Amino acid sequence: MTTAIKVRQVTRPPALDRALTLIGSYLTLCGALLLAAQARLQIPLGESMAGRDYVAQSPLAFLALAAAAALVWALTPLQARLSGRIGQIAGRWLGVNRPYRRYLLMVLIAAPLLLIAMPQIRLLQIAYFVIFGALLGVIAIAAPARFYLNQPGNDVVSDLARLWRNRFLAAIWLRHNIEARYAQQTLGILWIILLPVSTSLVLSLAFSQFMRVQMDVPFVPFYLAALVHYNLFSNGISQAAVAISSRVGIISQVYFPREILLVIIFGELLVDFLFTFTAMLIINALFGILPNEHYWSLPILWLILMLIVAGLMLTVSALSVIVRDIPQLVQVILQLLFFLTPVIYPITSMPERFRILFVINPLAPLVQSFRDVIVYNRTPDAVTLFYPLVFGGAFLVFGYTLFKSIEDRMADML
Amino acid sequence: MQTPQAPVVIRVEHVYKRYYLSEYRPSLRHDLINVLGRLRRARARADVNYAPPDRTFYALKDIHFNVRRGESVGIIGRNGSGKTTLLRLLSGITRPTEGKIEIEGRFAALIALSAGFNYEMTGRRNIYLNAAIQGVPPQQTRHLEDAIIDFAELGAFIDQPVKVYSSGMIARLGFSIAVHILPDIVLLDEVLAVGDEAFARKCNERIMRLRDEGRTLVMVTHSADAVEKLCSRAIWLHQGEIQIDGAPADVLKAYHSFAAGARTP
Repeated sequence: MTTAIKVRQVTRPPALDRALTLIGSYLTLCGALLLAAQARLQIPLGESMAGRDYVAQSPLAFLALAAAAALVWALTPLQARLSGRIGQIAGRWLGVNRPYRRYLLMVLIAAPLLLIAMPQIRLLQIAYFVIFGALLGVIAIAAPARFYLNQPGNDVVSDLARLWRNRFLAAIWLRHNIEARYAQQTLGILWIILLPVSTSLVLSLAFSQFMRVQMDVPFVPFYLAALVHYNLFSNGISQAAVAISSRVGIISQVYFPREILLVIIFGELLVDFLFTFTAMLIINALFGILPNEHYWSLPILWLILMLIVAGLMLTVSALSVIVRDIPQLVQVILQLLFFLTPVIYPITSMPERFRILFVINPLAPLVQSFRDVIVYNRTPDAVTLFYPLVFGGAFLVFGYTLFKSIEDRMADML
Repeated sequence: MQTPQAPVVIRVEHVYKRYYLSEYRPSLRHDLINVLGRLRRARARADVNYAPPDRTFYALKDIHFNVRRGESVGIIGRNGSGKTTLLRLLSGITRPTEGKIEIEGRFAALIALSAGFNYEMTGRRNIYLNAAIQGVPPQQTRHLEDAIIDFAELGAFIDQPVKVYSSGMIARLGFSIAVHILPDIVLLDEVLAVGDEAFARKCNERIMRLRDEGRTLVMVTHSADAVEKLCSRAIWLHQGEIQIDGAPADVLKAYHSFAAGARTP
């Protein structure tokens, strides 16, 4: 086995790398299509979709995207054979180190194909597709290529393989941290549960007795369903902001894939979440709210939440190495976000003209969906979840590549 | 020990390591005040030849050498000559600003005084953690555990958190882990300077055994004695540059006459 520090030997067939690029581009195109659908429908959060001209995301649309991606992919080897002026232009748009331009070509080719695949589609939706496609590509394709993938010696597949080889390290570390927390404190586990429960009791007193907010369900379950999930997010981000700087000692003395530090935090969060979620179920039962048949959608919602949390954790911890004030900044933003997310209030209590904030904030529809399922016994509104899903996926790619590009500076900057 | 036919396992090619001096450390305040300047610098920094003249210094300059399998190389030089930086580059903790380093082998272990331990964990768990960092899975470490604890002479302390250890105990544990998980390449940073005489002797014996088994050693030390006894080759670093690279006796002689006269040769 070779442990080259700067230059890693890549022995994979290049076709595999090209296939991976194709898959990445195709997924980004799908994301753009979902965003366009959501933007076109303009569904205000919390309202049902009945009576709207809902253009279903027919399988044909995804086929059209696949056709566009495949066409550009097939053209790529061709540009090497062209010569002269045309060869120059082809090289500029189809070159190996031009993933974003190739992707833009896919977007432009896909737009008319979508019209053919779904004749009843509005032109507005096509326009949205092109605009969101270009923006999404900047986050998920152009930026990662610029600061990581196109740099010599960087290779995502071998990075992931190295992370996998270090799974023992993560397991030992995680076990230690969890044991240290739960074994040494007398009230260890209890604190994790007591904290959200006591805050929810205080708040429910404040809201129901002092401020007299009219609620259709008891406040405590209403609040807890949102809070346990919001906490997973906010704890993750605030811990990620100090993940690197609080481990200077070990970082400056031994090499291991630094994202292990975030894997450990993530693992701890999930263990905490297991406890708080169980506690929430018990408390809900006291209020007569029992698990219902809509719980099947929880795993999907959890997956979206985890995508967002992981993506933003990577981004924030990488930024904290470049800009040292990030932890303080993150605290302010998290506090603001807590009030911009419908955790302690129902969506309806936000004035109409500010509802746009719920559309920009990917946590708002997600938190509302958790509440819909757990408290209101409703299916979550799928279309409003398109944006959180795409946001999470894009930021996972963006955050991971940003983190890896900064990794080798971590030992020097701290 | 030096066999010219042995394959090269460490290849260091024209390596530079540049550090920014502390007042230049980027901060948000600094960025906000000087957004334009920062953008310009960011563009300039992408160019490897760029260096703002007053705010950086080179810890290593044009370091270029190869190490063959089975060689044991002693790196000597005064404090601040870049010895430890070089080891840190070899172990992958930091990366060169310029140039490249290639290492071939199962893994390279860096054994420094504090050995990259997690100070909150017990010594025993740190054995597993440290071994895992070096690529040894826990199932394998389990077989080595007793031998490691034995060699480190830690006794009951092994189940105490590392933060209560003395520096000698930490160094002993780190050394013991590294020699038991048997890396192909061993990087040693001043480990012989700690511990009592008996332990130092034990270390020396162990290092000699590793060397005789055909493992590659790179060690940083201030002890001329150790270089003479343990190394097949010595490199003298001065102000980030290789002064002499050759047989231990020659390098030591030059280094000593320089140290006595304290002038640049």
